[in-house]
Amino acid sequence: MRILCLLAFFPSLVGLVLAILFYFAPFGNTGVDGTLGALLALVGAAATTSGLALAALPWPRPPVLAVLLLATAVAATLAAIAGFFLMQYGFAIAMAVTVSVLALMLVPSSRGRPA
Amino acid sequence: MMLRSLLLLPAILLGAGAALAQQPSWTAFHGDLFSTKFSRAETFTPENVGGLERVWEYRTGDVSDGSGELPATVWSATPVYANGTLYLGTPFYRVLALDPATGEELWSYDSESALEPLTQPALKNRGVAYWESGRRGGCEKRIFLGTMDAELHAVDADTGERCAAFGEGGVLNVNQWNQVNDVFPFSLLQPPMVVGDTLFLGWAGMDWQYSVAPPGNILAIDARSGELIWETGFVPEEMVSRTGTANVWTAMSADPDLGLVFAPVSSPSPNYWGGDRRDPIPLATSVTALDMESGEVVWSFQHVRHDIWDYDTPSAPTLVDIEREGETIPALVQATKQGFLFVLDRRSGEPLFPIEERDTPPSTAEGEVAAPSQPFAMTPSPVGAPLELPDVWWLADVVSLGQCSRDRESYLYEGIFTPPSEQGTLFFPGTAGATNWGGVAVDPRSATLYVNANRVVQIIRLIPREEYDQLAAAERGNEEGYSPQEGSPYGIHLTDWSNWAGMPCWEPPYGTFSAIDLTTGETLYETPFGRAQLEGFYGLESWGSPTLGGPVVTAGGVVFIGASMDSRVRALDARTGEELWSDLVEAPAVSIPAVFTHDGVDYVVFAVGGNTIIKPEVSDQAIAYRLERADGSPAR
Repeated sequence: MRILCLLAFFPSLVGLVLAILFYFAPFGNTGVDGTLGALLALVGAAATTSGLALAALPWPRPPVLAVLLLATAVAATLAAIAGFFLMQYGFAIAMAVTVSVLALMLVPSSRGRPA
Repeated sequence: MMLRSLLLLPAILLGAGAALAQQPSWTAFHGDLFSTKFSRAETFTPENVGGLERVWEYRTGDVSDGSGELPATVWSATPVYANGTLYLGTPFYRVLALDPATGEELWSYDSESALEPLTQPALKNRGVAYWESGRRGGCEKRIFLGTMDAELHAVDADTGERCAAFGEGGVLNVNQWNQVNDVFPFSLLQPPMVVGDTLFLGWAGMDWQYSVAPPGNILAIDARSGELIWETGFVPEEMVSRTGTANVWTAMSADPDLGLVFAPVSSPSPNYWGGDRRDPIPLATSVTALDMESGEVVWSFQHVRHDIWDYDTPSAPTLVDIEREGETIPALVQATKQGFLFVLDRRSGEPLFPIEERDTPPSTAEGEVAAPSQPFAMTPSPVGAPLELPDVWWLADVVSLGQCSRDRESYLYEGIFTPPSEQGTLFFPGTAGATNWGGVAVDPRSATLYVNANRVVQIIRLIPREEYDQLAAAERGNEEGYSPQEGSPYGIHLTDWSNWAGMPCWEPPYGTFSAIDLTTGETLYETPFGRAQLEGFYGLESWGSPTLGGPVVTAGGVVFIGASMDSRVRALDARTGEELWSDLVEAPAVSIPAVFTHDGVDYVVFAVGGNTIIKPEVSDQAIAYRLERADGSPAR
């Protein structure tokens, strides 16, 4: 489980960094800087990264873990969709990869015991 | 005849005679006096334009989003290339002279005009005008800049110093000729048209604010001294106590060989109720040809009778010769807000394609009598599909829990030209028009027309005076869609037809790009153009985007255009409309680019200003692009 968390965490972290860049635009206009849509994507990426960080901790109660993973998957999915409609395709891909791994984590056999 | 020829010689060299010049230039708002927006630059082709590089960027510093003390800026200037220099007007009413190859500022001039929204809700500028006498010496080449407060400034094109012999020390008070119903100044937001040694000047006003307003006119002014040569009005004398405007706020065209100026005349005041002006105003909402020397009306074609939709003639007519049965007909194309393209013989105003007279709905407003019929130009096909109200967009309807569907049922719509009503009318095409001041581009070699068009549905409601005054007491303003139409029984509220989330309630596409063969009237293609953008989210490509600004077509077969909501400037294949190249800029490039050749190198320059009615982002970028070789040197 922890390995899967890490596998999901890194692309989500990449997504978070990209979201910070396209929202705050430190290197120049991104076409979406400062917009509500970019902010929502950033929030979604932050929620995803945070959720995965929490899920990687030793977590004694699987039902709570499942809810956390599901909420994180929803956040990641919405962020990926937002990324697509923001034309921030690198971000959308990063979040889509995160969603894919989260989907694996939500399969009951894969949750088993924490690694 | 000999005197006229001599007087017009500079015009032949500069404007309509762009064909005679050695290098493609861009000396006027629409490129030349014929308003073709056609560049003879051949370097850019569909095969290579994908390699276009940004070569320089210049920041004017003259920008405001309206959040501070200054009103928002709307920068819609066409850069002017003349005298080996690139000239820009700014929405703070300054002139900038730049090196076309590097963007380096050569000089600047500040009119020190008051930056106040005297007639418009924003500070607007569409650029400057260039004149030269052909002689050597100071001020024999000039740049003219108009201001919101009715001043026309003349400065030396080489130094930026005022030309003292023009007006009073280089500044002409145009408001001196505003002597009837002078409730607002003649705002000079559109640069004058220069033909020979004469400036032809229109002005912008507030036809939504007042019923009785200054009557529209054109001023012909001596480019050297600023003296008035002639003035021609468009409102009959007997009606000036009841109405006004029918002015020319946009660019004009001219044919020096025919000795004609072509004026796109706007609608009379107030915009949306005509109960006090029911007598015909034949020259309102028309394209009118005036004798260049005398100002006499030679012919006029009115394309909206008794205009109560603000269907101003929004752009200069484009002049193009059309071959028909072995004869070359000097023609013009007048694009309109209704989406109709009227193709006329520019010698007489006679239509070259049949125009249908169709019945139109009556008005339910107090005191109003709508015209019973209007002219419909069905060949070429209208752009923006104006004859059919788009269906309700299912996505916006779902998000709004059926609000859009309820609106569709509750508001009035009986086809194009449905009058404004107290019930509320679905207004399509809306006041921004299927086409606007960006006009059309025409390749004169093939008589092929290129145009970007909008599909925007609005809701307009006439509000009885007492109710409106209560709203006014609650400090509603033009920026929220309320306009008083003082002196009439109604104020109005005008807004886009959208749901609570700002999504359009009507189906896409929201904007298109078309090519039309003017010889046959056939539409060659029509494609969605640009991407709409809301709160950062882009629409799908198939949805297109509303646009403000216009295209340029080049001899190499490329169309350059900004104009769309998604803040991109683009190059299209003129044969197909396919996008070949784009670049992200800071705001919608609501302008017409300049395409010209400087020292043997072809450039395309966009002024990127934005317009807060499209999107909140505004900018002050002027950006130049060119093709470069592998070693970084410019392609020639």
